[in-house]
Amino acid sequence: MAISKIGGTGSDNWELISSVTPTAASTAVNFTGLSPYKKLMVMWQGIVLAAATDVTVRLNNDFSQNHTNYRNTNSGSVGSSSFTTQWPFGDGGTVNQNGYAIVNNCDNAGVKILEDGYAVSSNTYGYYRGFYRGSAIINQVSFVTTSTFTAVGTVALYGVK
Amino acid sequence: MKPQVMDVDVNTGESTVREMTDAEFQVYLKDKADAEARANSQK
Repeated sequence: MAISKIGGTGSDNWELISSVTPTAASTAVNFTGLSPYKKLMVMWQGIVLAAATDVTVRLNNDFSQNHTNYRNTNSGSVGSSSFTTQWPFGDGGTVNQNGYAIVNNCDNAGVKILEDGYAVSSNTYGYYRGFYRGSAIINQVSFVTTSTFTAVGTVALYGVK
Repeated sequence: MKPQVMDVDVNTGESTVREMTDAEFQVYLKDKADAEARANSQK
């Protein structure tokens, strides 16, 4: 599969790794077979879920309690999650989801940092930061919902070598 | 019947839709409970 550069100057030269429309009735998109990237970014645009809930991002298909984050939302609330199996985005819990998550330090055994995350769902939005304490190099990124996708919208994965 | 997931091999571009494994389904149920708790906390 061809990898196209999307430009960039300075140290971050983001490459498009893959972009898909989630299959209707599926609950997760698993990007597998990743070679090591220093940074990874998941970007979701125009996603429509079958039922109102949030969306989440999981690294390395890790089912252990290794993801944690905090968030600020437009309602003024500040929240955090204890260690769990994913990072949740879209606190509005609606069917319409847009956002991105940038993860740093993906190519080594150290802690992976959710350095920047943003999600919009209808008229609510939130800003997210956090970390993942798994030690393995990231070779899989999953975009997940506990509803189902409806074959509307795109999920794209970008990387910086 | 368990929910479906979509695997995308970034090297070949091929995508495959399959049923969740038992392990994935157990995590899915836990994630679903967590999502409902988050939604309730926003109300």
